[in-house]
Amino acid sequence: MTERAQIHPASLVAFRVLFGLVLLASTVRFWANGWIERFYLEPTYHFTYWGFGWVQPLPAWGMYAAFAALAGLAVCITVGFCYRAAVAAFLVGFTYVELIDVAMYLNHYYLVSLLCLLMLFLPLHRTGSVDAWLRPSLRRATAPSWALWLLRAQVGVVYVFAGLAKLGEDWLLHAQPLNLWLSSRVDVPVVGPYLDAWPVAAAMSWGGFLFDTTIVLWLLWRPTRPYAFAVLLGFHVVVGWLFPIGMFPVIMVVAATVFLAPDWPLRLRDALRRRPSAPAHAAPLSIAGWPKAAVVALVVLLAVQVAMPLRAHLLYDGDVLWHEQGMRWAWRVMVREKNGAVLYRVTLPDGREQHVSPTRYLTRHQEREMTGQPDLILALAHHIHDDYAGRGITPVQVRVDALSSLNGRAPAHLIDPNIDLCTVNDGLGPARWVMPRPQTPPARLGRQGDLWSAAF
Amino acid sequence: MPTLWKSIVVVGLCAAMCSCSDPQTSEPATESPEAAMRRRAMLAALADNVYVPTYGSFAQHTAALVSATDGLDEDASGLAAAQQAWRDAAIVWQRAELMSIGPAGASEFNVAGAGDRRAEIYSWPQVNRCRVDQELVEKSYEDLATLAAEPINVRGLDALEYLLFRTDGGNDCAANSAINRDGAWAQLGDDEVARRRRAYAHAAATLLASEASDLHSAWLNGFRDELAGAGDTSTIYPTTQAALNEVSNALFYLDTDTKDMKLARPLGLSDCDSAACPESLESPWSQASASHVTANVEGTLLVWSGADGDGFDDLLVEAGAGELAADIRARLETARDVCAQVGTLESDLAADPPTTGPGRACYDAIKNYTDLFKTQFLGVLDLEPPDRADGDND
Repeated sequence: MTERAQIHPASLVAFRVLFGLVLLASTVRFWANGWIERFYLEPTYHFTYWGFGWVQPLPAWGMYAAFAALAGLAVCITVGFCYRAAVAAFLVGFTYVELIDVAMYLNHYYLVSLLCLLMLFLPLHRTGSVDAWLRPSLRRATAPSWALWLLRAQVGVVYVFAGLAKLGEDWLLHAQPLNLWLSSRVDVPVVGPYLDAWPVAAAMSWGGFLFDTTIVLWLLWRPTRPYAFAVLLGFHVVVGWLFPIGMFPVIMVVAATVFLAPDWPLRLRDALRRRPSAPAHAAPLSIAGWPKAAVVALVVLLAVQVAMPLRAHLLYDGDVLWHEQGMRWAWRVMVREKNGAVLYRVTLPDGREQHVSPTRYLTRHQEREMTGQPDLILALAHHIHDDYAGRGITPVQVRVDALSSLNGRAPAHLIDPNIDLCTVNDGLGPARWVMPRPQTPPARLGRQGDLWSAAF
Repeated sequence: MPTLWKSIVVVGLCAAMCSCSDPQTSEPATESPEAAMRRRAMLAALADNVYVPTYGSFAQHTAALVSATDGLDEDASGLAAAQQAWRDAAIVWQRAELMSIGPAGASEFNVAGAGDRRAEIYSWPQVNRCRVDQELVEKSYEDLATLAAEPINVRGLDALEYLLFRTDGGNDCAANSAINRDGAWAQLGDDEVARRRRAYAHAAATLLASEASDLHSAWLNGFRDELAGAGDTSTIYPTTQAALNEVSNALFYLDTDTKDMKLARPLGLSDCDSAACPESLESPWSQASASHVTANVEGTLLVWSGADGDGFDDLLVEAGAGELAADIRARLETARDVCAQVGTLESDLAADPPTTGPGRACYDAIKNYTDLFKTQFLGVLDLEPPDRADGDND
């Protein structure tokens, strides 16, 4: 590898330490909030991913042990002890937990798994780590620039596609769902009185769209980088303050540090000690000195990450926010408010009809997630069929009244109520059993007019 | 200091200021933004025009029930009046079932400021009439303190219904239960059973009236101000949104209890292995199950409209969702009118098949409302369904 392809390792070390701390905080938080019990032990039924039906929760002691292990592994990652083994084990453990129930899917959990997968191959432990302290042969004064660029590519993809996901009429023309969400936050100090004004939501919608789609460019361009990072920090603080999105803002701020100069931790130290800093190190983009494996990894990473969000448009018609095909693993972050009412209608062998509420099988959290996602509604229909069959009641037909309101629209049938869902199998093809999205515009709440008059 | 760090320090200070005033975790905000004041006014109006008057009315009706049952053990001529007093009190309570927030709320459902007082007034669906019969044999009702220490399903509104409306000499226990096996029940005789039921009813009514009065007082002496001061002076509701969500959570009763349990089960639509399940009726002895369903819808309408004062409908109209407000009101009024046509569910269940009669029409009309409530209404006001774990989101 050429010298030009080497960078100062401080940034990568800082990323490892900060990310490890975030993983630790997330794991401890899950335990402290009682979420292990509520999300993994209380439910009697779990929505499983296609091909991963065999992934089931452990008994209570096992789930708590798994989270305790994850916390320990996060500490190992933070201090760089048995780094690769710790990252590998954390990746397996964390991904296992996420695979237990589709209702628990969150974009930032997916990001954690992807970053862990990358870290498995990145040499983030060759300095500033217990490993390097114990094994001097590991130590390096520099780090390969490809390691930093792989992380930048991954984080960049998240921002860009989170921005492109907002490229729709609901977000840009109707300022939804921000208008709905902001209108309910009028108690917020200082800015609360302005949040129920529609133009404020519209301005924030456009601001969010422009931020997500362009922030990577501003972070990569050296003259704008400091301002861009400050804006990024402010953006995530405000979003985390206004909306219940847990660790997401913290993860994104930590992840975005990879866009700073490779020696930023040293420069921060100098600034705090009021010492002059040397000129910042750069991370050259040239891949001339990269190993072939790193180049291939970058290409594959980008190809997969670009293909996943685009599948919603290339493979499926209609509005992805409605039919949800292509919704997951696509960085469609906070782009819809969906509320549903689901009731299954089971036709018994004697022709009688029974009504089955999802609450018979699901927790409130699972039900809340399920009512807006057609594939989960279908999965529960099959489970209900199996449950009846298990009780010797067969054959039964299972239909569903699944009404859904997207971004404040009047509710409409999400799934054809006349189709026996027992005859439908989920798959990668377009789901013809999902009804088209209603053509009415979403709700528009609050004070109208121009931004100034609405706000003041 | 380089530009980067200057910028970060400035933003960090702003962040610290923001996080110090997190509405979920900090002291109540001292700001009085216009929209929040508007919401507080609506919550205050709800308390003053709906909650407090309803609980006040219930306290009055339970006091009347005490009077109506006084001396009944010696003179049965007042039984019909006592039954009517129970019906009057029960109808008011059925409206109040949609108002289980704060003092009436259940801590097991994570209701903010839960006082668990609903569980001291009405135990349905955890009824246990056999246990009432056992208490009757043991005469535990003769000492109020002893009776008060018993589970609510032997001294609440449901136990009172059984005591006042069951007129035969039978009991609700299995043949192999102790009171039947050892002959204790048979030894009483029909007259003594009837006399004890009336005496027991007076004791239970006395305890019920006390609970009703306490619940009313809890609202007058503190909780009314907690609700009206949401997001400002309240120590229970850090934001008006949290208070609105609690009010909304209580309205789910019409979906989960009224529609799914009081109607779907007896009508044979769910959790019933035969064409109908009359054993699942809420108030079989008084044959008031249908009127209780109607009262539940009326209670929803009261909260929804603010008793034609300030309610959710006004909030939606001012937010720009007037069409939704009108639609919800129309569906609720339709449900009320359709359910009022049922007569008694007992006669409806006798129809063949029961799922096509007025009871089914009532069920469908309520579902028509709850579908809109659980979808567009929750979405427009950004409310969460009850008892949802506070997980992350993105």
